Amino acid sequence: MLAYAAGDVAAFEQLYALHRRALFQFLLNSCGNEAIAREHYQDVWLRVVKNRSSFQPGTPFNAWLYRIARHRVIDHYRAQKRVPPITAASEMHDTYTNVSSLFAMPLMPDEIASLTQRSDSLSEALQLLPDVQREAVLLRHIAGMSVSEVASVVNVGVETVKSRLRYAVVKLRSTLQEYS
Amino acid sequence: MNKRTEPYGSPDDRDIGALFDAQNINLPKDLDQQILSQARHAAESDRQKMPSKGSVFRPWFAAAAVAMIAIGIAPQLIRSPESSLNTASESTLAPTDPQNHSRPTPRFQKTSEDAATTAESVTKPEAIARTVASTPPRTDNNVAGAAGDVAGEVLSADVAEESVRDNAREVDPDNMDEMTGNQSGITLMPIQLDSGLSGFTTTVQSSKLIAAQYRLEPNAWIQQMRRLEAKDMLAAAAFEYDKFREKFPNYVTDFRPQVRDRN
Repeated sequence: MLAYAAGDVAAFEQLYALHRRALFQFLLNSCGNEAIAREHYQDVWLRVVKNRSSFQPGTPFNAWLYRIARHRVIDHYRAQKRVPPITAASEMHDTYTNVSSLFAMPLMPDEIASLTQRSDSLSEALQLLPDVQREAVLLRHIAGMSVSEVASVVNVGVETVKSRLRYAVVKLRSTLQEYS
Repeated sequence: MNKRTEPYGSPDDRDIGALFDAQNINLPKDLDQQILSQARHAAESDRQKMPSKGSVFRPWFAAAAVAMIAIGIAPQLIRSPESSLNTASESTLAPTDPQNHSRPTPRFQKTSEDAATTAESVTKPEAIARTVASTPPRTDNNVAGAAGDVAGEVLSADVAEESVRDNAREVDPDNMDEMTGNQSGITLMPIQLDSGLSGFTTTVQSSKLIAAQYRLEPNAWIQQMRRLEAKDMLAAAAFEYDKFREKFPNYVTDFRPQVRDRN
């Protein structure tokens, strides 16, 4: 990114090729709508171009890119007046109401195979997750971030991220097993 | 892209990762060229906005050149005799103008040969003024000696001392006008005396120049001595006569000082 900020267009093309699929997948699963995801996708990249000079050396580009994308998604939620339930109480409530699913087992290969045939099943299961859990799962599994990187992007502690991921995975499994 | 190298304590989530990897995504390829073209355009605009080294330093060079001209040439133009900014003619009239008493530091220029011998008194008029003010009251016996102590061989200090102490009056304005009119290139400025002489303006430097002028011509010198005696400044006249004889020992004149016992 520093090379692009210095005028190297080829550096930006490399970054774009490296992150385009993951970013679009992140936005698509965050919003659940392809048209909106396209709009956000273009806007996020244009913000990257616009703010190229404000990129701080030493900052991982991955974290910077998905921080922009996350803010764009939050803006989208606010515009729709759909405030994500991010309070601890809501998380606790969600946990206790799904306590039975804590013992969900990993998906079996045949279940995964059947789910991949239905491309929309994962998206539907993600939309059933609380926003903070979905966000953690997407950053972890699509953006490929470590737990500490996810914690840095969403500005919460590492243990909080671990907890969100744990409950999100269990709930996803439970939902997907129902689909399969 | 999915690294998932860090376990986070949950049950194995590779199955979830496999689902994300297998997710069918229709990438917006039509946006790719649009985004990349925007990026290229932004980079090109950056290059165009980036000034070259020459254009960065050009204004500084211009400012430095102007400053050098202003500092180096302007003062010399102001000081040149031909310059209309020179205030020589204005300051020549200063001694007779009582409105000019509040002028700041006196400026003094002279072109005669005696300027070298009176350099200190010329460049330090305040010192002369202080010395004159601190000298004890004159008597006929000590005035010449006092003048010698104060200004060395320059009689002008003696004349100024006479003017300051005895009569508290300026040097003869008529004489002043006459002398300044004859002296080209000489600038006269008043000196504001304080401490005991407040409110009184004397023309010590002017008197020195007058002395330097009349000493060049024997007849003028004799006339000056006669004037001093006419003003009852006998000791000063005698001192002048001694100086006159040192310079013109063989000059024939009937003038004799009335006072000879100065010591």
